[in-house]
Amino acid sequence: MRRRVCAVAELPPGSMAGFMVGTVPVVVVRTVSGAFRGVVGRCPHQGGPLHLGLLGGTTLPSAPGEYRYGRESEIIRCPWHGFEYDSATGRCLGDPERMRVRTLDVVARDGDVLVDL
Amino acid sequence: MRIIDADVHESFASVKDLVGYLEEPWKDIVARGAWRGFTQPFAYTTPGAGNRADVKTADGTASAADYDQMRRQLLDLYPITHAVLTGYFYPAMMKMQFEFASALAGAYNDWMIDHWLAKDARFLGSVHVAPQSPEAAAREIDRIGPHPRMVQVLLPIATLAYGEPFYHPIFEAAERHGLVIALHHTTMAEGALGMGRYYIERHMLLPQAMMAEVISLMCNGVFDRYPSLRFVLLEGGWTWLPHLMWRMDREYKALRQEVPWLQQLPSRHVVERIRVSTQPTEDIDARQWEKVADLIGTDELFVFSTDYPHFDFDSPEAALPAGLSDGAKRKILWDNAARLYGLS
Repeated sequence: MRRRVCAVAELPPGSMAGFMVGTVPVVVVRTVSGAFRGVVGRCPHQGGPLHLGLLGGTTLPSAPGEYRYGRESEIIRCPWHGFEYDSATGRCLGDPERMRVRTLDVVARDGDVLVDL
Repeated sequence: MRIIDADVHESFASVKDLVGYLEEPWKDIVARGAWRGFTQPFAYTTPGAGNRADVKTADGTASAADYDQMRRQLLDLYPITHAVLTGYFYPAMMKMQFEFASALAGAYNDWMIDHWLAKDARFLGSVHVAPQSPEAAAREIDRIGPHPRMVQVLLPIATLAYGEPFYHPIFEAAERHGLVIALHHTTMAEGALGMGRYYIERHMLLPQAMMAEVISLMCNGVFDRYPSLRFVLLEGGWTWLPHLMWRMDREYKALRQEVPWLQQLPSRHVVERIRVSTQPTEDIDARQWEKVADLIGTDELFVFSTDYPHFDFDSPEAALPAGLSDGAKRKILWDNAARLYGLS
């Protein structure tokens, strides 16, 4: 079922916001390139509230001593231990095989942001 | 279930908060910004710069120095019956000007009593000292130790090895007042080969510094010389204990002639005298936890801690693995620390 969580104007490119949809904490992301994404906003590690964390990029694979930064505004970091989650897949970058948050379909329609739960 | 949180970091907003608690010449030095306080020799790479990123209000006004915020996010939320305050302002980090370090420790204790202990009956306190001047530290313990809510002397881990006989006055004073000795790392703590090149590297190395302190105390006879002293190792991990106990016992049997003041197997001193805080517990399951406890030989060493407000906070609801028995959880969350600190 699609539920409205906010107006598109309330979610500028490169930001995220948290909402309770029923009893489910939801984090909605709008990337700098305009994609809308959503995940369940509770860190599977110790339950940290993801909407209070950081939305940013991450360091990409590189040689020792070199830094390459990318995926701007696609990675959600938990406010507690800093675990990183890919907003596209829900997978934890540090342990992608075993840790993930559930992803949710998010669309923008008629100026509203809708989440499919 | 009642909870004792053995490691909660209160802080001030600025070192200038101590000005009213300092005597001259130190008061003026701090008041005019001639000393700006400690900083860490690295950048935090965590979302909240060392603290949980949610330790702030929406307008950014609340911080780790905010009691109301701590009450909302920790004390009332879980709820915590007792929280042992451990600070994070450690004059033990000063490499010179030790009289200033002693003055800062005393000022911090008085500030902390006024601004934290007085606000909430759940708080218990740590006596802060500058161990670089052990006689002055002992005087500070004599001055502050009798406060009814003080439960321990905090020995920060920077680069000092506390087994050195130089520090005896501190242990004598703690024993005089029935205070526990708590060990906690500082931002200056190092591993065996230094700090490493990266923050993650240093963070992985922290247990080495704690192990080095245990070895120093053990081989220099501190456990034997002060038989009523109890020790709590804060935030240094604990799953390494089986290795260290076995290793120390093996060496003791072979080499004990050199340290005749060490009068029993080191592992016995560990079990009888040392307690360890749980945070940061590695992400292990209940079966792994029970295995390590079995190797240690007892589950009465663990005292629960959150490390609030730091980023590696352990949630009372999530840090202990599902599947641990209620009895084991009760020991960790309450019984073991209650016995250590004489709480009922």
